[in-house]
Amino acid sequence: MKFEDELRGVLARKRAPTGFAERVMSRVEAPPARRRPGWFAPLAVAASLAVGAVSVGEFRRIRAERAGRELAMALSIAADKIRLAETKAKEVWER
Amino acid sequence: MRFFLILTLAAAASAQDVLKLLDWEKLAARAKESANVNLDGNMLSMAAAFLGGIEKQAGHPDMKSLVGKLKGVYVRSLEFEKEGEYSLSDIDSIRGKLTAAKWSPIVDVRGKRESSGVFVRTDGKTIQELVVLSAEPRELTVVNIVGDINPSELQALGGKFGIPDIHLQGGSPKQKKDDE
Amino acid sequence: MRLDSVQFDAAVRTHQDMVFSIAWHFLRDRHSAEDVAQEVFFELHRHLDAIESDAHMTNWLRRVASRRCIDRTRRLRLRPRVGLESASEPSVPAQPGDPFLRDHLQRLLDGLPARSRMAVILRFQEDMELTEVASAMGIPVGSVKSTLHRALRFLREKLERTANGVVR
Repeated sequence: MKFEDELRGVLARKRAPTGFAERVMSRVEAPPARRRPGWFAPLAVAASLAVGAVSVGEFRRIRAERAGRELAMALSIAADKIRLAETKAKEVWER
Repeated sequence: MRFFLILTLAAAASAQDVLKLLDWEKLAARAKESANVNLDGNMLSMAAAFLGGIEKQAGHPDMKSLVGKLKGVYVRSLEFEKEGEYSLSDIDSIRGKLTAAKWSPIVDVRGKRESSGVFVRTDGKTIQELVVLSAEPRELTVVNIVGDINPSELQALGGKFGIPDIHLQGGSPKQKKDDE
Repeated sequence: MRLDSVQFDAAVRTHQDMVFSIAWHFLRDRHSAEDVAQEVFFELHRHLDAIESDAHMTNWLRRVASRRCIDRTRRLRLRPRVGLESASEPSVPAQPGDPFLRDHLQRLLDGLPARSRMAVILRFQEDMELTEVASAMGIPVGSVKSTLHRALRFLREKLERTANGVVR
C-alpha cells in the first residue's frame, strides 16, 4: 500500500460526536449574555474578597495551575521547535 | 587585558542575558500573537506540583523528578501577520553570543529566510542549559531551559499535557548553511 | 448568505464531520476537538453575512478550523493523553492496512510541528490543493510546499525504517 494511502487512511474523517449539531444550535439560539456595567467586575472581586471567598489556598492553587499550564506551553513550544530544527537540518544535510 | 575581560564576560554569559539582546517588547508590538513565559525555580516547583497531581491521578510517574532539577524555563515566541517584521541578524546576534561563550550546537541550520538552532551548555557531563532558536518568515521563537537537563527525562514528558515528543539528541552537531 | 435556523442546522450537519475531524486529527482529544468545532460553527453563525456560497462556506470553515486549532496549541490548554475513551469513530470505513503501521504513523503525525501537522491534515484528510492549504493556513504556497515536503519525507523515512519495506 502506498504511503499516501496509509496517510489518507489514518486521516480519514471522523464522525462528529452524537448531538454535536444540537449543541451548536442551542448555543447559537441562546440569548446573548447580559452585559455587566464596567464597575461590576471590580465590585464583585472586592465583595468576594470581603467575604473571604478567595482563600489563600485557592489563590495558591490557581497560581500553581497557571504555572503548570505555562510550563506545558513552554515545553511544547520547545519540542515543536527542536523537531523543526532537526527536520530542517536533516533535509539540508542530505541534499 | 581588555580581550581577556571580554572573553570572560562572553563565557559567563547566561542565556537569560542572551534573551535580553532583543527588544522583545518592541517586537511584540508588531506581532499578531505572542507567548511569554518566565518560570523561575519557585514557579517551576508549583508547576511540577500541579502537573504532578494530574499525572499521579493518571497513574504516571511523579512529575517532580522530571521538572525538579530545572531552575528556569523562559520562552519568547512571536507570530507576525506578515514577513519582514524582524531581521534574521537579530537571531544571529544571539547565535554569535552563544558560540562565543562556547555553547555547543546540537543542531544549527541557517537559510536566507529561516534559521533554527539548538544549543547546549554543559559542565562536561550533563547539560546545564539549553537554548532553542527558531526564526521563520513570520515567527520568531527563543526558548531557554536552565538546570540539570536529562534528555531522556525531558523526552518522557512528550505525549503528556499536549507536549509533542521531545527529541533532544546528543552526539555530533549537525551544522550546515542552508543556501535554499 | 441568509440562512434561517433550519438551514443553518442543515449546514452544521453537512460540515460537522469535516470541522470536527480537522480538530480531532490536530488536537487528538475528543473534548478539545468538539470545543474547537463548536467555536468554529458559532463564529460561522456570526459571520453568515460574509459567506457568499456553499463552496465559500466550506473554505471558510476549513480556514477558521485550522487557525483555531493552531491558536489553541499556542495557548495550550492542558489536554489528557489520548485514551480509548476519547477515540472517535471513523465516518468512512478504514482502508485495509497494517494496524501497527497505522498506529505508528499516527504517533509520528502527532509529533510533527503544529504547522506541518495542519498542512498534512488539510492535504490528506480534505484532499486540498496546495493553493487551498496555503489559503486556509494564511501562508504562502511556497511555504506549504516546503513544509509538506519536509513533513512527508520525515514521516516516510521513519515509517520505512519501521516497516522495513512494507510501505513503498
